[in-house]
Amino acid sequence: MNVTFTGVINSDDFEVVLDGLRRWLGEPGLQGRERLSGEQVTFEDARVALICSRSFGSRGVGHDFLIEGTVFDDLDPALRFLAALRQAYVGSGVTAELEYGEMDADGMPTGEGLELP
Amino acid sequence: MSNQGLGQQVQQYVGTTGQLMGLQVPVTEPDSPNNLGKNLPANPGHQGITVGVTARVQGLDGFTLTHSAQELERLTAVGHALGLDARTIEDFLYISSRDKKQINAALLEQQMVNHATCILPRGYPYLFKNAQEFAAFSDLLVDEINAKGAGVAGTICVQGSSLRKPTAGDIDVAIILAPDDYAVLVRRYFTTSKKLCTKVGKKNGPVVVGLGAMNYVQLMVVCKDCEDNPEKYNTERNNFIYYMTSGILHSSRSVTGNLKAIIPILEKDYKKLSIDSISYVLEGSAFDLKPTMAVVHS
Repeated sequence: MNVTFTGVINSDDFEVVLDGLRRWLGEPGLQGRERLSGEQVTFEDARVALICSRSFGSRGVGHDFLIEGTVFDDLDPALRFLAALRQAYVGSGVTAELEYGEMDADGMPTGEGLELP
Repeated sequence: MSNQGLGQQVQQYVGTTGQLMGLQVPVTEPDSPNNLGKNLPANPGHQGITVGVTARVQGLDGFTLTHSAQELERLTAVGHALGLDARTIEDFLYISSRDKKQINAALLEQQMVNHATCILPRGYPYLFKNAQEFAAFSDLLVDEINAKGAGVAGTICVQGSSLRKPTAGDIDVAIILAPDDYAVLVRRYFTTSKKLCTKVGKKNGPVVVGLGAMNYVQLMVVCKDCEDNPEKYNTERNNFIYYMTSGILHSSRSVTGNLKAIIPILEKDYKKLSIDSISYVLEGSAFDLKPTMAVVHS
């Protein structure tokens, strides 16, 4: 069973956000892209697929980053993995709010999203 | 400006040396079959374009209009002389105003010239070898989008730097959707794959927001409430706001169906194109930007 997640990384600095993702994923070479819609990074391997991009609202690009994706694992290891994302930012003083939900075999959520404790 | 032939008008700006602000310009003969002047609007409205782009950029984070009044006047005049319509000229100016990728007036003028005198007449973007290669690419792309997209029909096109400069690094593909078709995608996603919820009923669990059969305008009302009252909604509100206000859904997002699976298929035959993303784009949104080139099945 897979786990889908969504969240906000509370930093305006893309390099800080990217560094945290590099630490979390163990991918020191991870690079982002500068798009018209703001900075964006995508990543996919056997464990996780994600997109992280600068937020956007009615006044244009925002000052934090949105992350969403899927962890290809069962619930408990997936939650440990997501908790490690928040740990990756501890040293830089950045917080991350995450919600998660289990998915069935068809990729549909089995319930409402829950906040990562 | 009169509705005269393109070659004649470009010549007025370029002079007899083929130089435009120091840049080499391929001048089209007035009677050429590729003469773009035939579509020149009768009243170009330079001031209207300047006012339009100023209004778009004003107060928008990440954008600053840095061209002087004189440069704006020249750019709009050259754009019209090249036969570009008002919206395309305004979008050129808008794109050049992005803080992190500013394009100065001289380079922007060159990109307008490139588009009007090279790309439009030949009918295919930079990075493609010839029209045949673009036609084959178009056939494959349309077939794959029909097979793997999110099941809403739109206008498929190339947009971005490959229509403006020979040094473009990649090809951007957009599927332009009418507002209510765009709403179908967002509504479906937030009622099946993800749930936009209010926290009002947290004691008994979150309450799913009933997006039902809301059209685009109705979804925007919910979006505004999400922006005005963030504490009322779950974290999904951030993606909902992003999707609704940006008007762009990149292929890396699961809301787009399986669009991202198309990229490796295209890369197999067209690696040099560096296709990074295929996006659903809301018609009239900030990312529905000209110039574009239609991608149609032969």
